[in-house]
Amino acid sequence: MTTTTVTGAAYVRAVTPTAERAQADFRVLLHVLSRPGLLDAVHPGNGPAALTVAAGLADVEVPTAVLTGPGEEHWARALHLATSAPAAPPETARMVVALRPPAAAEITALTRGDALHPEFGTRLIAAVSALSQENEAEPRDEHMEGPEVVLALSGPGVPGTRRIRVSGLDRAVFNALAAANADFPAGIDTFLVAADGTVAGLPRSTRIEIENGDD
Amino acid sequence: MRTVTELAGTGGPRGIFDELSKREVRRAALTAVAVPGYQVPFGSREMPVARGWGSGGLQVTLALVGPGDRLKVIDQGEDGGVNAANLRRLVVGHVGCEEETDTRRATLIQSRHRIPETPLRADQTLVLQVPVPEPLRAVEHDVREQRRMHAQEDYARMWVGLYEDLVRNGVVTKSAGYPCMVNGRYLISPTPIPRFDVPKLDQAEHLTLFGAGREKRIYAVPPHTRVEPLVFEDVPFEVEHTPGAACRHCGATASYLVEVPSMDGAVAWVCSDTDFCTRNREVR
Repeated sequence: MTTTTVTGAAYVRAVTPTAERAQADFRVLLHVLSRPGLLDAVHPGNGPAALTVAAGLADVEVPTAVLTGPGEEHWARALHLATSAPAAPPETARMVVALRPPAAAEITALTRGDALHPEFGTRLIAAVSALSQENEAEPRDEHMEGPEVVLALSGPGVPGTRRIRVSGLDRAVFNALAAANADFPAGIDTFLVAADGTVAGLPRSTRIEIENGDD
Repeated sequence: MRTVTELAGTGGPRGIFDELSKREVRRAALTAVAVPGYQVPFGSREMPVARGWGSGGLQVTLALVGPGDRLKVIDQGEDGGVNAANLRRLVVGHVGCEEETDTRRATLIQSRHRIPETPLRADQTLVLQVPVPEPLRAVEHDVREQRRMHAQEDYARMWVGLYEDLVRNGVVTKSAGYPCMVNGRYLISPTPIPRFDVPKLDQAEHLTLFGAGREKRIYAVPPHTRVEPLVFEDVPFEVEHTPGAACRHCGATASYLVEVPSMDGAVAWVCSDTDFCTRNREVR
């Protein structure tokens, strides 16, 4: 056995959740998706947390695209091997895992389904650097490092408005997401997964407003 | 020498519901939450209960439940009913979670026909078994046409149906499964819960998942979501109530009561929710 395959197997093991983990993580996903703006945490595995979330939901019936940065391609391979999810281009995939920040244009190109088939809308699992709850609208901070946005969320699951602060994704991404979800019931259902396993749900039914920075 | 059993290892508990099936239900449940009220099709499996006896609810419960859960199953509000007790035993034996009858302590509640009297909290999930998920079936038999009507939010014939009911009978006779709008977009049948329970879905703290096994559909009412029964402006929505009726065990008048006929023609009333009734008796 060559070193490469041994390492490959280790990656596959790292992203394969046990049945118990997949169940517990699913309850976390259900919790945050039905209450947008609340945060919870999935078990941090040995691989990227976003990939662990995807591995708990993917199987042979879910064409999946993994957007990876340079040097991360092995994680995409590991997910396809671990779950048997066939690889697909992002525009036709049922599930898209963004390990690197996606471009706004990539969000816009995702499948949204239509009124007859809302279930064809893409499930997007996007890695972010950090997530935190935001109690009220903060004054604009002009000296932020890296992209950081405050999202005001409202809609089903939210009494009034909830706010979260997201680091690691550009505001253009959220603008594109809000635009893609404007034609409910077609749309994209998103999970934001921080490196430490903190997760937030942005179902297509949620109204997203970006509160900081200028357009 | 090694036997095949040793080589195969323990392999985890024997299942009535495999991991792939769970994933299928989980994905459908997440989509259902994201599109409140929309009936998401899913690959419904054969279960060890007949379709129409809670196979949809059972699949949803099995996809959700973990060893740390406290599971309550009720049938017509009763924990001790044959169907409820068997479903509860089946799931508990399968995953090793705790059996629970006290609504306040349950984390997961599977139900047929009722939503418990005790208000549910955010840390509780309600799974309802659905025999007929399609509210439009009463006015339209063609499944494709039903889908079109949902897609275009074309519920005019539902209103006509309600109106005809009203002019023929003087009241809207539809009792169980009263049609409701979810978040002002999708018409749902809230399963055979009585009208009495419909307001409990509106702006609730808890998530409700509906599983229809035979019809292969899952839909959801997330917490803090508008659920409005279809009503005409001049005909208010009314829940079941019989003046003067009180539970013969606990004396409750504000709970959902069911009639107990006796041989001499007299009628007694009892709480449908046995857990609520038992606790109410203790308080008294």
